[in-house]
Amino acid sequence: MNLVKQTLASLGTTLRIMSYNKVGFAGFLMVIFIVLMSFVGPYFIPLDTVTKVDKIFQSPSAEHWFGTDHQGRDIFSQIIHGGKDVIVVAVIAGVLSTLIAVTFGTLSGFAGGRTDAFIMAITDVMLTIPQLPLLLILASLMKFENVTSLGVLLGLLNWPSLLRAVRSQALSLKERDFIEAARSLDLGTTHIVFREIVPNMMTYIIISLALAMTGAIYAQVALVLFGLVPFSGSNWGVMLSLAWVRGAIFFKDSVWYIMMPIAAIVLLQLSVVTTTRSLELVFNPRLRSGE
Amino acid sequence: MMAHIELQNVSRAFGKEQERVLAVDGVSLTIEKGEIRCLVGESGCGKSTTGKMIAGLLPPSGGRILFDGKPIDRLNKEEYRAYRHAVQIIHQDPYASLNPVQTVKQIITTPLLRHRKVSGSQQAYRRALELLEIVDLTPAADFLDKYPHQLSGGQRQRVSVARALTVDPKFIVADEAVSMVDVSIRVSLLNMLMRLKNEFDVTFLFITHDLALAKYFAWEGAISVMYLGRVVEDGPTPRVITDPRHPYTQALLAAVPEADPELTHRKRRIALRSADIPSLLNLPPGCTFHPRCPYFVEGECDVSAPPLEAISEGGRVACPVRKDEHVSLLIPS
Repeated sequence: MNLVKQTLASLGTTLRIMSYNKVGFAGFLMVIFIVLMSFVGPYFIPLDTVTKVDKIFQSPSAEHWFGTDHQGRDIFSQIIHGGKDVIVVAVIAGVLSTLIAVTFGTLSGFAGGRTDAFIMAITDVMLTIPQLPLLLILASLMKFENVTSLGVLLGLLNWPSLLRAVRSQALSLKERDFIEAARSLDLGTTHIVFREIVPNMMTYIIISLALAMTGAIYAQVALVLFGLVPFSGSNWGVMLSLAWVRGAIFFKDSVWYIMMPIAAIVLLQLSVVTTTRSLELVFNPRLRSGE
Repeated sequence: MMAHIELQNVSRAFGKEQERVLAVDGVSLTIEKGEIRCLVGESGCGKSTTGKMIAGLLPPSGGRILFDGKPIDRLNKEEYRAYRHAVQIIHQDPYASLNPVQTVKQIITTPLLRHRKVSGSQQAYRRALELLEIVDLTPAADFLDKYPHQLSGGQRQRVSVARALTVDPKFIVADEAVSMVDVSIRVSLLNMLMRLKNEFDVTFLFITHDLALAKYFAWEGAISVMYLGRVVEDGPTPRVITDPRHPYTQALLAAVPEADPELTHRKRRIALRSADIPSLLNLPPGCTFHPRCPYFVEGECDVSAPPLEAISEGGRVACPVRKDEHVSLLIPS
């Protein structure tokens, strides 16, 4: 009971701090809205799969809010159903790459010596390989059964630049006086790394996480658009790809088919990126002007 | 009586080969329990490095440091822990010595809880309040939820002291602890440190570049004067201040401004032969002060490094030429 109360209290404080930045908080609410829409929405709004020849490429109307596609199906329901995959891939890829970068970047900066040299050698090799061509080759060689494996692949490719940044921050932080004071107080290496060093990098890490997630969204949409990932069903990337192939861009009424998934992707990216403004306040007390 | 901290011929070098800098060169010091020892010298003379070696934050590259008679690199795990907790350091820069993302409460309760100085967060909270009151941060409850950037330099420095006190230290290395704080609150900080010494029986190594501060803080203690990595003179504070023997100590004292203009006027000026400090990368042979020393004797000072020799008035002087010469820094009016 007590633990629940404490968790709720700290959650409340966090939300209050986040609300100091209006733009960031709006982004945060938008993220929640998109996530709810994509994960809960499908239970309420069925996916329209019936071909209606008389209704192809309609512009938005009261009946079809976002218009219809090349087979006369409702675009709105496709948007609702198409967000889940995109979000799952973005979260898996973003969290995985950030986790790798923070763990090994801090280790590299803090341990130094051979550990550092080894980790940096791998990182430098990874950095020299161009990402998109590598992704294209890998995607054509591997079969993606599900979205999870795509997320893991994107995550495994995306950590090197963040790792270098984290390492250099750890290198500069570990020389600071308050780290020396912690050593002098015998607080232990685990405490020094996770309680003193990492919290000081959190602002940077959280922004990098947001960027890694938007990067993963782009990468997966690109893969689907190139037709290298044979996803079926509804997915903002698949929609974009289909709309492009069907020439939706050429007609005034059909252009909605291509604009709607783009708008959804852009809105998701924008809200994720603006949310970092609020998260900055949570992790860097200096930025809070609300107090 | 066994010395609390003893340095035996301790050296510390940084860098490799051509870039090698000998920051501390064969320093021997003994500090007794309950003593206040001041380490004085200009920037780059190795006083902070010495302090860090004593605090165990930097291993010496030569010589040994003894804590209560035992070399600190030979202590077993339990003894090392005791030493680690007994010796604490207070840093110069109050803006860098506190973690900017932790509240005062976190900063102070973390070591308390980790080392089981208290049981439970309730007790930690009460102890934190007590510690803040000891360092004159009152009302203490107002400070617990503050972040370092919401405090002034003097308040931060007090938090640093309170943090050091969490582990019940016996020996505090105060590394220029008041030099970055406003002059107006320096005295109250010094008085607070002095009170700690008397109430908790803490031994102090007070590192400063300011002889006036050393005089104020350590009048009952002793001063060691360092120049380019070596101790050139030490002794009881009154003797060193009123009857300095080493030409470098004399030059330092002559440079201290006096509040009384009449006194300043009567002060003897020491004319150094050169105003520049030699580079640590390229130290002069013999006594490192000889290129600047007004009493330079060719063929003697520039040949071999003079040893520290005891003088009858108390302390040691590393200058065979001038060690028995009494120089008054005031011109008789």
